[in-house]
Amino acid sequence: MRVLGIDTATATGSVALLDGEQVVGEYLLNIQATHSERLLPALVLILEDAGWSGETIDGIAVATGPGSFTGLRIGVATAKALAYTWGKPLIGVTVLEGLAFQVGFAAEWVTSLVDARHGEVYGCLYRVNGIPEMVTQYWAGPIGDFLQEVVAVAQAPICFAGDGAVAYWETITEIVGNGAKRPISNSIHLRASSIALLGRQRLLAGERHDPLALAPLYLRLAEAERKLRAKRRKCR
Amino acid sequence: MAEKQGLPEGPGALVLGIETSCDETAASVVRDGREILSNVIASQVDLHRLFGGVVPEIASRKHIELIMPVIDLALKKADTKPEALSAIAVTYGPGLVGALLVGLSAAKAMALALDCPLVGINHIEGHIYANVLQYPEVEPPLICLTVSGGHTDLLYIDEYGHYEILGRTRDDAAGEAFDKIARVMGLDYPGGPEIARMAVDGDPKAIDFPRGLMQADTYDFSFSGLKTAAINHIHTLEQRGEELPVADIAASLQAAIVDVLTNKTIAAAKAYGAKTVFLSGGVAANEGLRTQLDLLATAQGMRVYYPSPVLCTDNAAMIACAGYYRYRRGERSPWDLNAVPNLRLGET
Ligand SMILES: [Zn+2]
Repeated sequence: MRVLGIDTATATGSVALLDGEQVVGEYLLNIQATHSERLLPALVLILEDAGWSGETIDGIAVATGPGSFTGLRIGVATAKALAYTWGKPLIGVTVLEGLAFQVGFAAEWVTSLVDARHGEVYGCLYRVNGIPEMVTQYWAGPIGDFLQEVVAVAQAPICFAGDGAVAYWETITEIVGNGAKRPISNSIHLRASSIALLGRQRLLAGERHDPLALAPLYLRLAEAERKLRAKRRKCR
Repeated sequence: MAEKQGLPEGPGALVLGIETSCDETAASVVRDGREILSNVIASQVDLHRLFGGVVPEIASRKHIELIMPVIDLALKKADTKPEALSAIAVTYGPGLVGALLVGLSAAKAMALALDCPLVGINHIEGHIYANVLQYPEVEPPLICLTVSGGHTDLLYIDEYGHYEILGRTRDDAAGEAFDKIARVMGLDYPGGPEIARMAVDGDPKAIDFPRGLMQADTYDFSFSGLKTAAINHIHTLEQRGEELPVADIAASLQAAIVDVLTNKTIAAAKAYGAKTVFLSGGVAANEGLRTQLDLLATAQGMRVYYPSPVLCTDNAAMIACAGYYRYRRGERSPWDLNAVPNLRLGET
């Protein structure tokens, strides 16, 4: 099975081609340019270089989030339109499980963290045995509170991955202590090949997402909606 | 934006248009730039009514939910398949950046998947083509007034694809002023159509609202003075505990806006020797504006064209039509085309 993987959730953006379990190509950029400017050129380049086309692809896997709202929509819109137009199966994989899968060979306990700015993260604790299994619920809030929850359940060593692990490493070592492990820099950020590998397993298991309906995983309401709900709660 | 490549094929060209610049998710298939095979518009107006206006993040979230179903429906209603498309045209500005990016990303991916040309379209140019779509026989030179909740632009067109911006609003768009005043009056969102409805029973001379820049030596518009005057007027009445003469306020307000819009448009047409005037955008559906512009133009031996209501609002048929003409000229947008929220006509 040949799978195309796409990730545009954070500042890192990447595309990857997978043939079976073999990574045929991966193109990753961690620069300031928007995903809108770099995603399509990256796709064109990797398909051309590998000599692949729509006909030779058996499925598309995309990182659904959490991450930058705008970034997620660029990746998800692109993946949905490709799957729809090529008539190929689509599978969405969360950034958090993608990260856990990516470093799961290094530790049994993995905490995936996406930087949500201002001391907050999106996160999830996984226990990995080949496939990541969720131990906590998805978290969206202050990093400290989440780490307390993590140390209460996980056993050291705990591996921390994602741009949240980079941004809040100091806080992590403070709270978790020596049991906190951090992957080297080329594994700490999500790679599209991890999304493709995990997506491939799901596709092989017969899972599919509807290219008309797949939505990003935001884990947060829009600001205006939050305010509206707060106001309504007060009125009641 | 565009570079030229080999010549496109002849008749029968199907162009898919995609539009997500504000709060309408729209897709349309147009044949040869004139025959609308489908024109699907999913409006989010009910959703944004909860907030009293368009909320960008909420609009973007709705677009990503709706974009593929809307495209799919547009293709099905046109009884066509993606492979039959000759080109894909998409709005890349002006508009809300997060909203634009949803349509743009889908359009680029479809163009890549089909190996067919991608043509980025300026939304304001799209509004002009709403008239071209409906009146393909009309030729430039012409003056075009585009008015909506988001824009007020006066253009001179000496040939299609070639625009001179004569004037635009220096503050609020005409539709925006309507909306804001309507909100103060306690009318429903969006306020423009509500004011038009109320104005029917009112006296347009009841209140002498300011006509910003009307006598000035410019084609630019300004509606902030009018907005302030109207809101002050309403507050004064409320403080005195008087009942609001809603119909009179609406009629006087509409008269002031229509006076400014029509005067500038006719003056521009005279100055540029244009015998044809295009009216487009959401406010082009305003009966009062149409009637007065018609009246003034006829007196000058000019003719006014405006699109049917469905083509006045934001739609993708106008984008597909504009895209068709650019496609026929061999224009192509690059893969790194980005959304440009403040895109101006003639800029790339
Ligand atoms: Zn518009």
